[in-house]
Amino acid sequence: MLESLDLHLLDLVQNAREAGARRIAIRWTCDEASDEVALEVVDDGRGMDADTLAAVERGFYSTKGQRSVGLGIPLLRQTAEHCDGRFSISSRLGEGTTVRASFRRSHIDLPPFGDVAATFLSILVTSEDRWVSILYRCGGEVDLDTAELRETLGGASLQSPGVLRALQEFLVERVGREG
Amino acid sequence: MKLEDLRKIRERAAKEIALRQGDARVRLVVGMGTSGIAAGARDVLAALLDEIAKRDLSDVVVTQTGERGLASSEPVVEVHVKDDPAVVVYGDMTSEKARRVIADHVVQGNPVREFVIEVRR
Repeated sequence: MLESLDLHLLDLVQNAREAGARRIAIRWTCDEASDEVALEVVDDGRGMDADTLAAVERGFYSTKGQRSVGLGIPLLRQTAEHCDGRFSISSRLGEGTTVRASFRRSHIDLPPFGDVAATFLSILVTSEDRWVSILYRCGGEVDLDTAELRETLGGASLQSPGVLRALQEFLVERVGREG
Repeated sequence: MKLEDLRKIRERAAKEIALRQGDARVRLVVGMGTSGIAAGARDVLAALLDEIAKRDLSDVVVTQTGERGLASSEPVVEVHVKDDPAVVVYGDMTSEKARRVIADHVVQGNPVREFVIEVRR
C-alpha cells in the first residue's frame, strides 16, 4: 500500500499536521556499523491518551474522516518488525507524539527509499507557517529547517518558482532521485 | 556547512517576489491522507510543483489536506481560482494528468473535463 519509506514518512508527517502540530522534526538516518535505517517524526500536536494510542496501533482508527481506515501506523510497524527493526510510538495528550521506526538496511524485503528529494520538497513547501526540520543522513546529507530557509530567502514564498527550482536542484543533488 | 547550503539555495533562487497565500490567483489542494498517498498523491504534488517551477508560475500555490471522503477517486486535486465560487475537483490523478491540469486549466483557464469528478459551489 505504501510502497516506499518516503511515503511512510509523508504519512507520518500528515498525521502530525492533522494533530494540529506547529513543530514537526523529521530524522532519517542510516548507520552503517549497525546496518540500520531509522525514521523518526516528532510533533507537538494534540497527542493521544493511552486508549486512543492503543486503538491507533491496532489500526482502523482514524480522526481523518470516516473514509480513512487508519492503516498507516500498523503498516509501518509491520514493515519495521518484518525487516528486523523496531517500531515505537509514544504520545502525551496536549504535548505531542513521537513515532520511530527502524529497519535492517540489508533486509531483502526493505522497501525502497522512494523519491526522497520529491518527498522532502513536498513537505517543506507545503509547511505553511509550521516549523519543520529535516535531518537526513544516508550517504547524502540534508540538514534544514523551514525557519532558516525562510530567513535566508528573505521572506520569499517557498513556492515561488525560483525557490522551488533551487530547492529541487539542491535536494536532488543531496539525496539523489529515486533511491 | 549548513549556512553554506542555505546560501547556495538563495543564490539559485535569485530575487523572488514574496507571495502571500492570500494573493495567489490559483490555489491547488492535494488530498494527502494515507489512501491518497498510497494512490500516488506525492507524485501528483511533485508534478504540480515541477510545472510551477518550470513555467515560472508565481501566482499559483499548492497546499495539502487530509482525506476528503473521495477515497475511491484518489489522488484528488481541487482547483480554487480567485473570485470564482466554483471549485473544480479532479480525481484519479496521475503526474501526467496533473501537468495537463496546469497547462489547460491553470494557465489557459480551460478545465480538463474528462478528469473532473465534482464541481463544488
